[in-house]
Amino acid sequence: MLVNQKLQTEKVQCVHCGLAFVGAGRFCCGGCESVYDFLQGHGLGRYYDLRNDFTTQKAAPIRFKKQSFLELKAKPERELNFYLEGIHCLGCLWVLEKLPEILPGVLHARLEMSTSVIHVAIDERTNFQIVANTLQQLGYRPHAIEKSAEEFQRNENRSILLRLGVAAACTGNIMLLSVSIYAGASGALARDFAWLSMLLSLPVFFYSATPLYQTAFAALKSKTLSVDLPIVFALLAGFAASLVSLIRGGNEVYCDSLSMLVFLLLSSRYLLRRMQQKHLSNAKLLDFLDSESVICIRATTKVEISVSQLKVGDILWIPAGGVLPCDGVVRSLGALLDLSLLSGESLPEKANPGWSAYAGTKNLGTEFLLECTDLGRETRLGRILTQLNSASVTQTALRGFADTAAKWFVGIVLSLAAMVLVYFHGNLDEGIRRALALVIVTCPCVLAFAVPLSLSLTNKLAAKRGILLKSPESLEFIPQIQEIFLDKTGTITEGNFTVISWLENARYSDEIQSAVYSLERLSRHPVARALVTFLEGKVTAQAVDGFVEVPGLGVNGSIGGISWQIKKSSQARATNNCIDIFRAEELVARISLGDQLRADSKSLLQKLGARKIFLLSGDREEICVRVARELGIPEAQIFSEKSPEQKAAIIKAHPQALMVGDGANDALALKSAKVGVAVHGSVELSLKNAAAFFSRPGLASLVELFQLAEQNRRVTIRNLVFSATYNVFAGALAITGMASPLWAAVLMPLSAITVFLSTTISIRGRT
Amino acid sequence: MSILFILVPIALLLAGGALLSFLLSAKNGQYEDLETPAYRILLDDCKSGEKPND
Amino acid sequence: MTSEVKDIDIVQYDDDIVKKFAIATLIWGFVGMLVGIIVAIQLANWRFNFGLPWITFGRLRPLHTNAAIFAFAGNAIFAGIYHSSQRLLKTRLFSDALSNIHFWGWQLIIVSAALTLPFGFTVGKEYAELELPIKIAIAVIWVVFGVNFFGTIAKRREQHLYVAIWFYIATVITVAVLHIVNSVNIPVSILKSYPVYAGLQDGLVQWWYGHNAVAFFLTTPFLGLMYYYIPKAANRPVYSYRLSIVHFWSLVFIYIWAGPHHLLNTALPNWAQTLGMIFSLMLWAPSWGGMINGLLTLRGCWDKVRTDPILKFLAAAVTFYGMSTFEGPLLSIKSVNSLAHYTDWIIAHVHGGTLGWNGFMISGMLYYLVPRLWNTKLYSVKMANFHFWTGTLGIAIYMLSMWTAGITQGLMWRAVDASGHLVYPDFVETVMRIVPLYYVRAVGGTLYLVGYVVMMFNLFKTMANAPATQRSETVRAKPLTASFGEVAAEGGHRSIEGLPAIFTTLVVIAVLVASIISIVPTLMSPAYSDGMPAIRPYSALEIAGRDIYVREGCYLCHSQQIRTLPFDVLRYGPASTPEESMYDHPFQWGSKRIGPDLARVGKKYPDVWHYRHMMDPRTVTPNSIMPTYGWLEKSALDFDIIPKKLGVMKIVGVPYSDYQIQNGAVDAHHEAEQLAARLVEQGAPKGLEDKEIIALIAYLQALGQMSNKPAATTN
Repeated sequence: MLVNQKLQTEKVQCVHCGLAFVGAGRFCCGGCESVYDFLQGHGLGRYYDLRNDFTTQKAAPIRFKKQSFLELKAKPERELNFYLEGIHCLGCLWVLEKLPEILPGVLHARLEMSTSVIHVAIDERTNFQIVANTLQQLGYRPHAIEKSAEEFQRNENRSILLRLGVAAACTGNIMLLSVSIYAGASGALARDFAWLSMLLSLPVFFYSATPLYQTAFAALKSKTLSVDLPIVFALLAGFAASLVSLIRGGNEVYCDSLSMLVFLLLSSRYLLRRMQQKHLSNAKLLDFLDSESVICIRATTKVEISVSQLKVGDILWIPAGGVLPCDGVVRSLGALLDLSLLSGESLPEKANPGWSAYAGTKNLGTEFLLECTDLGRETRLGRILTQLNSASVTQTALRGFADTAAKWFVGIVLSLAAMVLVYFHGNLDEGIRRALALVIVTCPCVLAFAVPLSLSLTNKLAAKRGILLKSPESLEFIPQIQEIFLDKTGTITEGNFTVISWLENARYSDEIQSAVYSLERLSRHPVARALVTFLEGKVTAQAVDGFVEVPGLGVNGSIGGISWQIKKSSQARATNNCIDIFRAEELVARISLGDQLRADSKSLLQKLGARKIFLLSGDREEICVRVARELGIPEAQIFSEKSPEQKAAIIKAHPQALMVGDGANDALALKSAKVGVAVHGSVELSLKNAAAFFSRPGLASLVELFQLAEQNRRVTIRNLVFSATYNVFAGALAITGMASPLWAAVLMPLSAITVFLSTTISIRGRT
Repeated sequence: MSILFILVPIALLLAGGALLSFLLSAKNGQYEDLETPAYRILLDDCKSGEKPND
Repeated sequence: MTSEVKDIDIVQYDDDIVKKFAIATLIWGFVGMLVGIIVAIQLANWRFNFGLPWITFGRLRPLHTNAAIFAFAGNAIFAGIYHSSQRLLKTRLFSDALSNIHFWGWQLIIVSAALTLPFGFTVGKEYAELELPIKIAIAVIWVVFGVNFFGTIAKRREQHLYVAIWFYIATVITVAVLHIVNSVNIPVSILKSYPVYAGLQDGLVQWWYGHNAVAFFLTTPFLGLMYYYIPKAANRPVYSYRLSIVHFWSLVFIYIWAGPHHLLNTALPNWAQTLGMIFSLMLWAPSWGGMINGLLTLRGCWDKVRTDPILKFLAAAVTFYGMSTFEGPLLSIKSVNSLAHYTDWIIAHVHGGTLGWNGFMISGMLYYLVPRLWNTKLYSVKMANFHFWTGTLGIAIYMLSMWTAGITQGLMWRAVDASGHLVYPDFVETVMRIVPLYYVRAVGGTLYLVGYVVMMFNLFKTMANAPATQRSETVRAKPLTASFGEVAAEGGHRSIEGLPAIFTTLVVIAVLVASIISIVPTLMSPAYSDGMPAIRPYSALEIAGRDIYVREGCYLCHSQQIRTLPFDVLRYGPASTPEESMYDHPFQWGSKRIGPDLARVGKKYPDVWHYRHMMDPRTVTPNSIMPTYGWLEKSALDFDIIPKKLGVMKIVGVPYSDYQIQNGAVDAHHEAEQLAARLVEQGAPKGLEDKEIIALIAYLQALGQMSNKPAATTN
């Protein structure tokens, strides 16, 4: 008897992409070979030398199919931006920036490695489609991206940077002058220095600090307290006080403290923005415009057109392996459709002429003709998505505790400052000094940035582990989750068929395996793949005559004159799928295949603690029950044979649950869950509906997600405690006059740095 | 210390010049991409078609 | 390979100019270091002055410093900047003609320095000794360099300005300003001029220049070179490019005010001293940021560092940079400075930086450049490694000996016993203690030079092995087009590129010079100072004597600034006030005490003591290491030029009357005869009244004796 066994076979490395594969030749696929030829043909072979030096990110090489971009509207833009898949090293940089030398009409090409975006400027000699094609030929799958959002972000960044530069230059020089005064310069010299500092602080007050004024006044208008309000008060009051003092002939100015404050605030904001933007580039995936092409039959000839040009009634030619771009009616034989995207069904379904077929499903059979009935939003998939998008957002991005605390904080500080001023009404100079110091030192910006910082770092760490979060805020809900709904296929189970048992008639042992291997090698059905993997390396293939694949049923053929049949067993056993093997009409073997439980599923589930685990699947009840029993999930927590709509209803009945499911198939349910996690399927689609996407299969990511969320919570609480302690202590120092405004301006950023450092150190590289 | 009437304005002038070049360069987009330039310098072109000296 | 695209330019870099500068670097480095060893030996043993005026320590030491800074480091900077800029900007240098003018002009400047300094033609300010014509030549050649460099930026094909380019830009502009501001001299004759600044003001300008010369000549260009050559040699990108940009901008904004740390505990107002100290301390952070960035670039290829001499030198250089930029701020702390100032600790600090950071950076760069420029392989890797270890050992010996000497001497100077008296009242005692260490230092320096000579041999052999046909590297690049420019910027960017930028810079410099020349004298004039001047100006003879003091480089061994520290006051008298040097053009506060301070040496000894002391110091101080100055009693004093000197002094603000100026020669003669008569009475030979020695003695006897107020001096 044979049991599930995975065999190691000799693998060869593809000369182009480095992927290990089994087979003949130097390339894993035609795509790689064509890129190799293209590069060599243009004398760009140096790419291979450079590529091996080192890599920037460990990205898996992308396998792609040949595509051409035909008949897309030739956009008259002179600068094109593409997000490129597959950027991972110096060689990429080199080869891509050589584009001007390969393609006439390209004026320049600049790659931004951190975002994998390439900017290409062209003139009238070339156009979008030629450039996109060339990029593809070089081996990088391009996605056109909209410029506007990125440009807006860029401009905003730039404006902050300019303000920051001005603040830095002025603060440096003001410090120079004020240190001189503090160090003892006196008399006329000191007065000159004081006036000079005031002059130098004008650009800071009137230019650099404007974003602060804007947020503060906007908040005031909507009658709320914003974190920037105390700072704005400090700036205005300090400026006024300094001016008055100067005019009266004194030289007590606060220009140094205040400009230092503005400088430090702007720098921390700038840094934080850049960091968050960098990690949200994952979300760029949502901006893709997919430009797949399809083949349409027009007047008996095949024409390749883009999806956007499809019309209802068009007859499409769907190749073997093709994904349906629209809903339609099957018009010829050969369709065998993988419905997993929509229904979660593990076995493909044969579709006869006249049957309906849906967008997003994959053809595992041979080529067939499809008549288009619904496009875009009108497809079943499209309607699901539209429903989701138009549904009101049930999750608000609550900052929770920190936000409310910040508002209270601001109120308290301002009141205290007012009280200080009142108390010192007789000695207003001292009062202003202390009030200023108080307002500066107790800045709640620690509250304002510590939380997003910790979230953003955790987000980054999660991304490294293959967990993509749409919005980091969802991390805050996770530690409290007590109910977890799990999809079955691919999450708890391996997701593909494996051979569970193999019963055979001993008399024909030698022949059976070889025959099975020879026949199944010629089919692309998941069952065939499973059998082939199982037998790989153990037997050699033989020549097959008269091979026939009966979609959905099995394969036949003759080997050495004997006819063999492999087909789905008529006795469908309760828990597994059975395949019968017939040799010359005689049953000689029975193989049972099943979706095996992942080895680590049970142990990982235990790590989730006392939380309630539910099984939610579209698969058959018997299978679900078997799996649940193995994992120790009680019967009451099993939901089987549920359609996407039914799943959504169940989730809605458990509003505080986390759900793990398929990105498109379980979309409605995921959207309704408190936290929805999508596994497999397309990232783009998944992140439209779920809060998170696991790019690595299995439960390990789920456990990690909980661990990361816990860590985030711990760090946030620690930061808040520290910030509270610091504020009380520092505030006391200011009120009692023991800390001058300058000390305050230094202390406050010091505390901010401490929080910053402690957060970055805590949330880092824990394996 | 009347020399300061010269040294301080000169220093401010230099600082102003530095600030101006910072602002102009920031507007010019010099600080958009602070990762790729470090790689680009490693890609000197070589005499037509030949490998660079190592 | 076919180029399907026609509008790609194939640009050939100008590497000939780089080769020229590289060879010049090699040669002048040798010269500078050789002179360094000579002066080191002269300090250890005075006999090596040989009684010859042209090679006394006082005249050679400036030759050493100028050669090391301007000839060795200077040529290296130009080689590196020209080589790396072309590649970073993907274009050939702006103008071959300017490149050659730059090269030959600079070498001419060096040669003039070599020809003038030994003959005593000096301004008397450290690293700014070269007289006015040469200073002007430096300014002109520097402008040529600037035009060439900015022109190259203007015609670049790479939009992004790599961080190294920024460092170079800062260098070009700041050095120009510093040089000009510190060179505002009024000429007396073609090779003699006086600074418009005096005393404390001059000190501040000098060290504002001096420290920033270190910063913007010996640091920023080298940092730029580091950011280019380390990544290239290691074939990895800079550890954090973002950090390097932050490093650059923070350095640029802070560096300028560290200058006062050369004047701590002096008559400089306290607040200015504190300012200098604080800014020097602040400098530590960006400097170490740069060091860390450079070293971490090498992470992951430390095994390569072990085998490759280029990386060894570069990594060591950066480490020495870190050391110096830690030691520097440390020395800027007032209390540390009170021990270290005027001692050999400062010398140790300087040489750690120059030999370690600059010297090794240059060596690494040359080992990288020469084989590539000459299209061949390095002649011997073993020799290069030998050079590295020898050089490192040399530096270690140098620094250890000088640290020891400095701290020893500093401690001895400040040692006060229980009764409040100096433990070592005789200065020469402190000198004797450290002379053996001068020998050790000379050994260290020689070792370093040996390694350097090995490099010269290695590299010249490499050049000799070069293939007969040489071709410069080429680059294929598209020009930056207008459309690209529009797309990339929101207007205004064109103004920093292109010829307008160059002209603007030139105009700014011209305006600067003009304003300074017109403003300064008025500001300096007594009409702006408070109350009656505290001292009298130098007499006619004293002025002549002062110029001899400056000529012989006496300020290099003797300071004239008693610090506000108790042990200084105990040893030399009341602390120097700012007024006491208010007519000193140039100031002669000095920065090293190889011999004792002279601020109040006037009337401390009889006239004949000075005569004997100059003829042979050992007759009055048995263990002195000072050279002999026998020629001073032989050479005739130029009386006729004295009125001219007084006239220029008046222009720069010293209140001489026209009468005094016209009768300058007569007055000087008169004074000289009186002094000569006194000398004869005291036992000196006859006939000194028209010799140079008489002027010098008159000057020395005036130091500290020029107060206008009723005498409150004690000793």
